[in-house]
This record gives sequence, structure tokens and C-alpha cells, in this order.
Amino acid sequence: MSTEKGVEKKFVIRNKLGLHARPAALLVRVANRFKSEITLQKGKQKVNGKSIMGVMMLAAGPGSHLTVYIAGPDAVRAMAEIEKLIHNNFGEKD
Amino acid sequence: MPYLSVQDLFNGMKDQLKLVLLTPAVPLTRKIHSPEIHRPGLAFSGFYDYFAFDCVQILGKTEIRFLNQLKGRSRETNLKRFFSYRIPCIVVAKQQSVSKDFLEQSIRSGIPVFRSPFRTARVASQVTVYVERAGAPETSLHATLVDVYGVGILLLGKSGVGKSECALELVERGHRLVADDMVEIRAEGRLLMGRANPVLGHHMEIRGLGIIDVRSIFGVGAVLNQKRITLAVSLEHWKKEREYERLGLEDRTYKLLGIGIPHLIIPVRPGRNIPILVETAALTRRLNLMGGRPAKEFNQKLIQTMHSSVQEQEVD
Repeated sequence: MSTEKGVEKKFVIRNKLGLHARPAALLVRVANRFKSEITLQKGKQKVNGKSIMGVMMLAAGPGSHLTVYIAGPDAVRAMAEIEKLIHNNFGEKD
Repeated sequence: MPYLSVQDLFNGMKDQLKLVLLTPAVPLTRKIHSPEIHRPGLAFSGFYDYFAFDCVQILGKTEIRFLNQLKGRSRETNLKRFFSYRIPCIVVAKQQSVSKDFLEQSIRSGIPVFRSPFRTARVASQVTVYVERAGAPETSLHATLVDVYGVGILLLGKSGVGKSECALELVERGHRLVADDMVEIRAEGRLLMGRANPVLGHHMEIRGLGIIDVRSIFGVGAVLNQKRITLAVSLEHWKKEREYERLGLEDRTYKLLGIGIPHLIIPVRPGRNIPILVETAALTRRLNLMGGRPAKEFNQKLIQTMHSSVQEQEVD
């Protein structure tokens, strides 16, 4: 799935309340650790993965499909971290 | 830990309560260990299973009337028992006269008796407030205290981070300075009161300018003598590795004298207008006190939006 410099991956949001403030903040916190450009897409809407208001604007509820695009020098590592976060349901118990 | 001596209480309250010492021979050296007051009616009637003797004893109309009709053996034993305790002092309210034997026994036991013309409730409440204040835990802190839109904000941070400059800008914008550089803080009940050190007053040291007097430059409207502290704001140089609050959902508290107050950490870097951030923090704090939680409400709305769009999908 990886292009020249960028990587792309599709996810389904599984945590109970969706991408609300806390998970969004965690995601943005992780995204900001990397130099790469991180873009999140839900439907037609694309937002910067480093902007907290942007991520919340997606209103990605449970079951929604999210595509993550990452381009830059540390894209692969960034994708791995984001994947881990989403798969762990953002550390939420249910 | 004693709060104060009877002499301190007398010095502090004699004008306010028009106290007269009825037992001039008795030294006022005893210490008061409790901010509460006690009305010893039950003790006079012979009940000593529990007797809060280490409080200031206040005799209102009830106690004096009861004493006046207490005769014979029971008067003798009950009063003997009463005066056997290490009572700090006795205050008689409402200008009532006290029987001679009562005064004689207090003198013999070394217990000073005062009289006040004011009614019992007033004497009781003022003594309580005074003793509590005198015994209130105190501390002083390198910080700046400002009143912004009525919210007492303690500005914390290392020397040179810009606390004084921030306060100066806030004063310029119509807010008030309470203390700069050194704040004296006292816990009054569950409240934290801050004031300036009496020597420093409303002076400020601004690098490059030297010492300025805020009151004489900006006028009396720009200063305040004391203020209740309801928010702590730490200013710190922006640290790259540190993650700052992004949502306002977490409640951080700053502990002072065992009392917690909401705490914000504001990263400082060139181009950030700190006074405006402090003003906004003050207004948000006021909103919180009125029951508003903007971050929480925003998140609830978001969750609701996501929930209803999920249901739509299921219907499709």
C-alpha cells in the first residue's frame, strides 16, 4: 500500500463512543511526535491529523471507516503508532 | 498547637467587643487551643461526661440565669468541678453581672473573666472568627497575585519567565494587582486568601525599569489589598517534549496549605500574548463557577452527533 514516500491504511473505529475528545487528543498527541504529514479521511472529509479540532470535526463514531495517509521521513513509524492506538481502542476499556 | 494566648485575644478583641477584665489579678497567659467557643450550660448542671473546656467559655443569658438559681450542694460541686478544668478564659455577654463566688473561684483557679456589652451570638461569632484567623496556617510564596475580572489568580513560574510583566499588562488592561514577587497566603477555613507583604506593598520590580509603584502610577483602582485565590496559573518556557493541555477536560489542581485550587500551565514563547490567555482563563473559570463546562459540553455534543449518524447508517 505504500507509495514512494507515503503510506495509506484503512481503519474501522471500534471504541464505544467513537473519536470523541479524549481519543482525538491521544491521536493528535501521537501524530505530533512525527515530522510526517498526517491526514485523516472519513467519507469525503479530509483533515490534518495534528489538529485536534480537525480530528474532532470528523465525528468518526463507532463503526466508521477512516483512512490515514502519512507522508514524510518517518511515515512508516508514525503509521505503526497510530495503528496501535486505534487497535487498542485508544486505551478505553470498552 | 495553640492558636493564641488569652492576652492576644484580649488585645485583638477589646475594642471590637468592648471587653472589660473582671479579674484584673489573673494573668492572661493561658493558651487557646481550639477556634470553637463553648457555652457551659450543661457543665453547670453537672454533666461532665464531655466538656469542651479548652475553648473560650461564653456565658449568655441561659448560663447566667441557670447559675443564679443554682443553689446549695449542687452549686458547690458543679462549680468546683467546672473550675478544676484548665479553661483558657470566660466571656460574659450582654453586660450581665456575675455572682461574687463565681468570680472568686475563677481568680483562685487562674481563669480570667471578661465582660462584653454585646449579645451572645455576636460575641460567639466574633471570637470564633478571630481565633480561627489567628491560628490559620500561613505561607509565603514567590508568585504574583492579580484580580482579573474578579477572579484571584496566582501567577507562578520561575524568576524571569515574565510574571511581573504579565501582571503589568493586566493592570494596564484594567485589572488589579494584589502582590508581586512575594505573596502572603493564609488558609481561612477552606479559602485561600492572598495579600502583599506589608514592606513590598504594591511595588513591582520590572527588569529594565527598576522599582515602580503601581498604586501611584495607575491609581487606587488598579490595586487591591487582599484577594481570595481561586486559580493558579503557572507560566513556563515552552518545552518541546512536554505535552500541554489541549482539551480542558482534565482538572489539574495546585495544593497550597492543604487546599486544592484549579491549576493551568501556560507555555510561554515569543509572540504568545500571555495576558490575554490569563484573561480568558479567568473568564473560563468564572464560567465554570456558574456551572459551565465548555470542553465537556462540546464533547457531549460531538458524541451525540456521532451516535445519531451511526443510527442512520444502521437504518440504511
